[in-house]
Amino acid sequence: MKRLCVATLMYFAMAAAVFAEVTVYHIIAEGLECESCASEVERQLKEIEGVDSVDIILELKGVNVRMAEGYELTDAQVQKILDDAGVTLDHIEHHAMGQH
Amino acid sequence: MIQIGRNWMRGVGLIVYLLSSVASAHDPIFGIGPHVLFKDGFEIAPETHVEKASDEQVTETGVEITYALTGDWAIGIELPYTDVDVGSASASGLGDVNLFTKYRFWRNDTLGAQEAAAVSLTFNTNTADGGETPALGTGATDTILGLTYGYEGRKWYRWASIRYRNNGGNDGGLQRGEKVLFDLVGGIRFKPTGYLEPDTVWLLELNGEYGARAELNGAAVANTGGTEWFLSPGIFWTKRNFAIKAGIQIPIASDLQGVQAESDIRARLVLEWHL
Repeated sequence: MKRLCVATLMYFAMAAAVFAEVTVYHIIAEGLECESCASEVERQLKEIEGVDSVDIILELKGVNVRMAEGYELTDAQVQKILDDAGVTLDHIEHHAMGQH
Repeated sequence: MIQIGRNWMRGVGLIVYLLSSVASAHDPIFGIGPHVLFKDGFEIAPETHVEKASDEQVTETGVEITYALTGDWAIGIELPYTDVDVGSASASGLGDVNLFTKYRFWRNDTLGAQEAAAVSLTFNTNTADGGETPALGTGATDTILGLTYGYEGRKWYRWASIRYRNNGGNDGGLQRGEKVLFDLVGGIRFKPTGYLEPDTVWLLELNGEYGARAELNGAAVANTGGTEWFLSPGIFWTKRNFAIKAGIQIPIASDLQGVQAESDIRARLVLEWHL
């Protein structure tokens, strides 16, 4: 019985590791064409708890934000950062990605 | 019409043009633009500006510190060290400290571009080291009101601005004439760059300056006032939150009243660091 319990726990632990999902947010912003503004957006996003990485892609007028497992980025957080940077939020796309 | 001490007036005549345009990344070099910093952001900008007219030369080296109260409103201070050489005499020391503010009152964002308009207000305070000949400051507090429009895209840039400078009178009864400055600027980024790549934008500015005649105790002063036009190529180079801006002003036309030294050349170099 003890062995069965340990095996079950190990199975769920491994499954959680294999199938854990992280969310990547693709933020499209209007007016985001200046490197210094973008660097501030990057810095502010990185200060949010749970942000794993931030990639500025000026050519696509967007920012990709990858969150650590169990964390979310809210629309309000993004809106405030873009307001402070003097650019306009167009829309946010959420992509749930499996973490292997 | 009267004439006054030539050495003193020559220095002041050049000084009024220096460091009167508030620096900001992706704004023109000699004109002004509507760009404002990130809320609570700081900009530190060491800069130098040289102006030469005949045997007169003024060099101002200073630092400009800007703080953004909001994403649309910034305030700042500019601390210059001034060197004035009029051929027969020279002096150097602390120049007039400038206090400035800029408010962006209109913005139109589209994908990859931003249009904006802003007003600016600068106080050129009477704080230069006194008693020097030639003078290191204007001897009065001047007020500069500016209105600017700008378009920034991934390839093209354009700006237009107008500034009105109301000069104060000094203790000696000299009232320098008011000034109006016009700027039309175009810019191009020949090669689109990614976020972490060094980025270069080339600029060409047309700068016009009109100055009314000065008065001393109510009487017009000879050899003051007039109009000058400049064509000004420039460049700004940026990498993330660091920028280098440089340009020269080449005089292309002038209509100065009386006998005055026409501008030979002006140059400006600005380093900007956003924190």
